[in-house]
Amino acid sequence: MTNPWVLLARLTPEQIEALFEAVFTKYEQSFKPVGIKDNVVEVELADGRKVKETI
Amino acid sequence: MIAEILRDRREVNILAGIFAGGPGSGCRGDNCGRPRGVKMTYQSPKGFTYTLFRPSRKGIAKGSHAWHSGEDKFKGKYTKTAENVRPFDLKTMSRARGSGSVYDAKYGKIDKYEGHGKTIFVHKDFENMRVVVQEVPHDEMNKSEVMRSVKFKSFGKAAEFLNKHYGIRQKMMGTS
Repeated sequence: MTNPWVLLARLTPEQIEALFEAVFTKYEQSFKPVGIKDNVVEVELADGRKVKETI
Repeated sequence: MIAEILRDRREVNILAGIFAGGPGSGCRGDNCGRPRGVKMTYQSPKGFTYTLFRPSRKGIAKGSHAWHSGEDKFKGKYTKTAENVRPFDLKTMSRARGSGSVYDAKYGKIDKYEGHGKTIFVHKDFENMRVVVQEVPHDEMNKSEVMRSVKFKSFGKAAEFLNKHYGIRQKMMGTS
């Protein structure tokens, strides 16, 4: 198992903050990133759902 | 309509929960009765801006958002996992003037990563002459509840902070 948070290394600080703010506001739960393509980040929520966030 | 709702004692309790901190609760100030945000920003007298992101205030003790200026519990255990990553700005369609490095500290045996630990992003932004340090603690399932972001206008102070707090030594003005 590798550290999935390294996926966010190519994002700017503002994009990382926007991702946290968007996920916490909408879903109010912890998450981890599972994929990233262009400006869309796929995250897995604590309840197991996978959602995509545009940043 | 409102009168009908208020007649039902159960719904009154629900409304009281929603507007907790409102008039009559003893709370004073502009923010009384408003839902707590996921983002809170503080200005430090030491010259940095500290921002906290969290999913909600539920179950979080009062004052637990405070920045502890002492040493991080993983100090000295951080390893560099990515360096000189240049972010690509989709708005300007160009690479940003700056670079980022990623450090992580994790629990686990030599060849087994158990997930629990902390990831640190260090962004050097030469365009705006600032350094942003972002701290993402994660549990054994790699999921994060809280994210802390510290912004420095001084590269020297950022380097000092990284060394003192996390035990990370990084050249700030160079490329590494």
